[in-house]
Amino acid sequence: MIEDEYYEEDEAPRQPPLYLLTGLVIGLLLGLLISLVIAPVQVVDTSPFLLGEEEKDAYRLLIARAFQADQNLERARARLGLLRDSAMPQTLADQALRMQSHGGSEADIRALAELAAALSSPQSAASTQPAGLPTAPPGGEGENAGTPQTFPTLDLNQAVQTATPPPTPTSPPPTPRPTFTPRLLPTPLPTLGAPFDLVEQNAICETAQTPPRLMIEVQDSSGNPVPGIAITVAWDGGIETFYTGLMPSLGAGYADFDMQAGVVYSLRVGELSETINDLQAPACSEGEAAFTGSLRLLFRQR
Amino acid sequence: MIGVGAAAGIFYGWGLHPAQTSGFPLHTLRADYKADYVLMTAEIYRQDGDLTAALERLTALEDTPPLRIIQQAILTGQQLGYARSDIETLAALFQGLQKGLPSLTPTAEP
Repeated sequence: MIEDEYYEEDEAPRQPPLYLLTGLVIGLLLGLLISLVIAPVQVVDTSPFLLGEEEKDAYRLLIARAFQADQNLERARARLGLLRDSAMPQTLADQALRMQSHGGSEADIRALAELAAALSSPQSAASTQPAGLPTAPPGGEGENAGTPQTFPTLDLNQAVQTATPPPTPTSPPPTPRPTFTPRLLPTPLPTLGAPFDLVEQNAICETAQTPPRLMIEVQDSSGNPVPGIAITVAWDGGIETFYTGLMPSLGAGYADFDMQAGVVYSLRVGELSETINDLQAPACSEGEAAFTGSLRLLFRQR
Repeated sequence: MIGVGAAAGIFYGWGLHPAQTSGFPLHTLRADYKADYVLMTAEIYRQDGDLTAALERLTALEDTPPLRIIQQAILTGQQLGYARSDIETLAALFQGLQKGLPSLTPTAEP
């Protein structure tokens, strides 16, 4: 009898420790509330590549304006490297186009176009990073990329320096060594105020070229492409301004515009150049097929 | 158990999955990046002399008096071994702002 009672008690269903689980869940929710809502992580000492898109645009623009001021391409390249864009010239050109569509300042658009063109020019690609100009910032550039790091104090031995390296001592070392790369003037800048003349005009009759385009190349007096030049196209019922150098892959002085068949356009390059009138997409034919071609204009500075 | 759960939640929120991992504002930049930002502003000012634009760029960086921002950039630049010409560029912006904004002249650092 005693044994039976013992077994009955033992076989009674056990209650799971629900109170423990409930406590754990309540604690977890409380912890998440604290860490994500009430007191989220306060990030300090971030790198430029972690900035928001708007801030990155502002940073890029600042780099472009600084490049316009000092023409130091290596410094601009080092600064842009901090943003970690894989296709930097295109990013700059895209930003310029965005600004153009939003009515941004002409000086800003021009600065971006000039830097995009300078970065994609062959002379720029051939240049190498000068010694003593570190571009890789500490932390965030290596394995921990993408994770914001908190640095309680600035480690000056590791800190990024995009500024010019200090001058070398006056007494030269026994073996001459290159200590710096001279400043590059990668793309010619137009002489302000000098007008551009139309030197060449060709009809391009290629069936693959759709829609018909007004393709413009702008050169300086020596025949080098010039980026950042405003081109204004007007037609009956419309006017548009765009800039050279926003398609770096097609050349620093290149710009184009989609034309409509049968519409007559006027065009002006820069501020003081003569207006070119009566521009139309040419009528082309290949065999019996007729189509509308494109127009290529070459302008050179006087 | 509440304590264990709270610790796990805080560890997740602060350590494993912080609420924000990118898209930070400019004022969160590290001191050396800030100094370079100010240097860029100073380089542009040296070329165009546009004090208003320089001021706008500095106030976009952080909510601190602009002269203080430049002072800090000069100090950081000196610590990092900026070239003399860069320090002078920063100093020129400082002087330009000092003339343009006499009411914002900072007091001596404690």
